[in-house]
Amino acid sequence: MKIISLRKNEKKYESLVRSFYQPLYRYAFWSCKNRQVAEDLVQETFARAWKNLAQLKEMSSAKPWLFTILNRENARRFARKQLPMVELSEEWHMENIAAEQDNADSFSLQRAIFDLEDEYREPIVLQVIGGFSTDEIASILQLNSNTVSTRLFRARAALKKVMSPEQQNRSHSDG
Amino acid sequence: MDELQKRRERLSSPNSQIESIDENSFEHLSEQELENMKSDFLFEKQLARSLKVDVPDDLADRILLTQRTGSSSLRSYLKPSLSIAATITLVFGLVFDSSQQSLSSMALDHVYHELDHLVEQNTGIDLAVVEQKISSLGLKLSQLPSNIIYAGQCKLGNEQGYHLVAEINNRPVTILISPSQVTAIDDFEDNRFNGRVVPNGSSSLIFVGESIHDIDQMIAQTQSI
Repeated sequence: MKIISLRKNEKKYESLVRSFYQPLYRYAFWSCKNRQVAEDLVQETFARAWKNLAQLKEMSSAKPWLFTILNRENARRFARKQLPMVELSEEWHMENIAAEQDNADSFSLQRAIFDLEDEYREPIVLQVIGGFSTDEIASILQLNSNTVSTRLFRARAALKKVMSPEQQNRSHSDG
Repeated sequence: MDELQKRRERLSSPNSQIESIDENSFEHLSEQELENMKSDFLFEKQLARSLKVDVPDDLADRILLTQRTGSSSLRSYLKPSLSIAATITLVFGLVFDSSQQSLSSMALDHVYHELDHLVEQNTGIDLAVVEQKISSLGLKLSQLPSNIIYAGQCKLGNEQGYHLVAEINNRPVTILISPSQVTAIDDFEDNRFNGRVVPNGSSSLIFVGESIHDIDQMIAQTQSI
């Protein structure tokens, strides 16, 4: 009986890892702006998820559950004062990102996302990468829904502002 | 909904706004509204592309490997509470051939057997001899526990292992070094004892004690993980 239960848990866990490691990594990256820290955050998130797997009653709630754990792990990182970002220049990070996508428009947008305040960047990444609704984002970030809507609105407005008319036209013709 | 609120909705969740428009309602949209929608759609596409940074290819495998080997940087996971240990109970038929007597049963047999003999062995033990003996069997233990009360070669199934008993918090904890390799940390228990099997290179370590807390401390002391 217990063997079956353990095997079921391991299968459930593997399914969680394979389904969600990519969006979690991307959210972690945009939260901490550092690849190594992002990877550590995802590892810690899944280790904690394994430890608390019994709390997950429905697989349908797995995604917000995991993102909530990651968010808490990130907050703990601040509490532990593990902030490697201060040692690295912004240029380093932008080169790091740009090397992976040579699209100039994306690069401009990435720089703008990078420059957004955390409070604006986090909800928009959760919405776009995680596919969460405003209410789900509110729950993950422990904010009320109106605040999330306002931040999403402001984040988009700020990002649109940095795009030059030329870039905007180019992106129009891209579609 | 006033215009400002509409615009706010459109800017905070443009995709859901676009998705909520059906074919019929397109006919009622003005040129400007259609243009805005097209602009939003393209912006969202570019935004999604920009946020989609590359993810290390082998990350999922590494996460799963960490869970299976217990070699996580999360030390806290290696020191689970009693309740966690009680729920993650494992019978070793999972890890070993079903025809082989399970390591957990063998470990518990040893422990019950040693209860009758510990008193005879509680004399000075030469740590250098113990280390040499472990090594001569092709086994290893990173660090011997500080308060050994029993040490000796033993038979684990058909294989030669090594049997140590050391005290921690004034209670004995048994450590069996088995040549059988395991790939994951596993817990077991009976009515009296808790146990944990820990990977140890090409061999394994089995810790048995009355308290899971003692086992945690003994694992930390032997620095076996």
